[in-house]
Amino acid sequence: MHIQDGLLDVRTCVAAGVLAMSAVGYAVHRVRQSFADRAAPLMGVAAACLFAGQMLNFPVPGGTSGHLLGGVLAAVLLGPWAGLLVLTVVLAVQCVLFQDGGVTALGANVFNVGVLGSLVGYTMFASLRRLVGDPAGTVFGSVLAAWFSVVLAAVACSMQLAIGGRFVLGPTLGAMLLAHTMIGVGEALITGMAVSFILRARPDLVYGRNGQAGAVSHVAQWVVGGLALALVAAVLISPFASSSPDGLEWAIERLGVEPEPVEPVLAAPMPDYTPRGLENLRLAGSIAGAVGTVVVFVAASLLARGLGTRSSLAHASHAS
Amino acid sequence: MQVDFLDRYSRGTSIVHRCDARIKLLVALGLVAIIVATPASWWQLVTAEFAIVLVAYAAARLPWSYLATRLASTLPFLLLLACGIPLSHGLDRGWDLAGQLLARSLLSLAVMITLVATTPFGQLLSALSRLGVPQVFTAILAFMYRYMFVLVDELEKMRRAKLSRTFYPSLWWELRLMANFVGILFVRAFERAERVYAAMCARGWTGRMPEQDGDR
Repeated sequence: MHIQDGLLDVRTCVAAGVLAMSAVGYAVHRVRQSFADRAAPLMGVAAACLFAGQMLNFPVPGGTSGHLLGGVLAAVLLGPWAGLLVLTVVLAVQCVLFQDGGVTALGANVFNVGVLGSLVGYTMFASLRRLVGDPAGTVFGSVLAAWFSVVLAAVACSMQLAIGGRFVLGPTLGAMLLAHTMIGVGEALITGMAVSFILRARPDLVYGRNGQAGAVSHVAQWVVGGLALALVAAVLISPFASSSPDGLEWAIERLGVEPEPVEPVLAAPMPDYTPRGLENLRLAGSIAGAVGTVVVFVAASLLARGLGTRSSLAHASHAS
Repeated sequence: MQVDFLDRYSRGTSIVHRCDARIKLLVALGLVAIIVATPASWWQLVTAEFAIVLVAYAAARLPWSYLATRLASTLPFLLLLACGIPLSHGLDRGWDLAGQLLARSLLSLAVMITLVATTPFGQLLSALSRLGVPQVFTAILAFMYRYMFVLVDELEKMRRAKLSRTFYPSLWWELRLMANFVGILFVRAFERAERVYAAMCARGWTGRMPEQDGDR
């Protein structure tokens, strides 16, 4: 999902960069306030940990593999703003030292993984935790939030690619959704099980468990709830409802320009053949997304139930 | 993870190595921005960019095989994406766009590879902080760079232990084990951070990084 240099057009780079920069700037301010002189060692080690965690590849059914993004995991453990800062640092190091993700696309990558993963993911997690109740809600919320953050990032990434006019939204979104529903299930399961492990081993490390911090304002909850509903409606339901271009596609067509009409350098191998499969790719992506949502919901409930009751948790943390 | 895996070549003595890190950083970022923003019809500028990158790499006297291997490692993913353009247009157009995309990406990659291969990370950090990046941010980067290798090694140790004990893992167990790895890694990392912080406080840490000479 790390976008390389040259894939996005200039406007998208600048817009995403400004958005990401202002979010990270505010995060620096918040982290300085709440962590003071503990910030550097704590965040640095957490970033190194996330970097190592992202090197773990998990097998994805279908032959490929995905790796952990860790946006929601970082937010659950450190809080939304510190999580955003840590993810930004990880992305910056991957971009500069490993050339994994481009410099000009860093803003877009920080937005997709950091802002959507940590800020939006945390809001979702905190709302669900309050709804279900601690500790089952902590696991339930982190599983669902991790899944949505990956799907959300895939959608945002496809839209950014499509705005430049080089990629067509429908098939790109379909392919991204197909790939990332699987990766998202892996991310959700690993995040959920890791959080439940940490709840047993060091429950104090989970952010905001005592209600001192970590509450999310009602406005943010409504915004994120609305966003999730809009996402479900636009991506997962609309292809079944009508065959006309939906809201997402319409928005991109308004935003995007047609690619510069250049004389083709390479002759197309099959000029008049438009594969029917491409129309269906979009539909396949939506079906995968819908199925994935159900699977993750069931998995989240099972994992949260498996965590046991509050008393057994207290017992476990006593014993350790 | 070997310590010199990343900056094996960054302690050379060529003219590019000796250049101030701030200048290198700004030039590299500017160059990438120009490469990305150049329209494909300005082929003279594209040729010039290509020449500049090659000359800079040659002036750094780095082995060409290094550039080739680094570029080749990103190629599969880039090719996949580049093929996605004509595919998503229905195979009748977009091939030239895919070519441009590939050229832009590879050129920008070459710029960044040259920058990193000629500048030790410590110099890069002090350049960043002297260019006005918040001190919290560079301090976090410095700590991350220090502990990245430690934690990756720790993970590798756990994985080797797992491989020598589990013989027929199912997908479910694989995921479970991996989640436990992540959990253990985080708990250990936090405990390490707490110890490190206590040790730093005992040595007079006030929240400001001491000035580095930029060698590490």
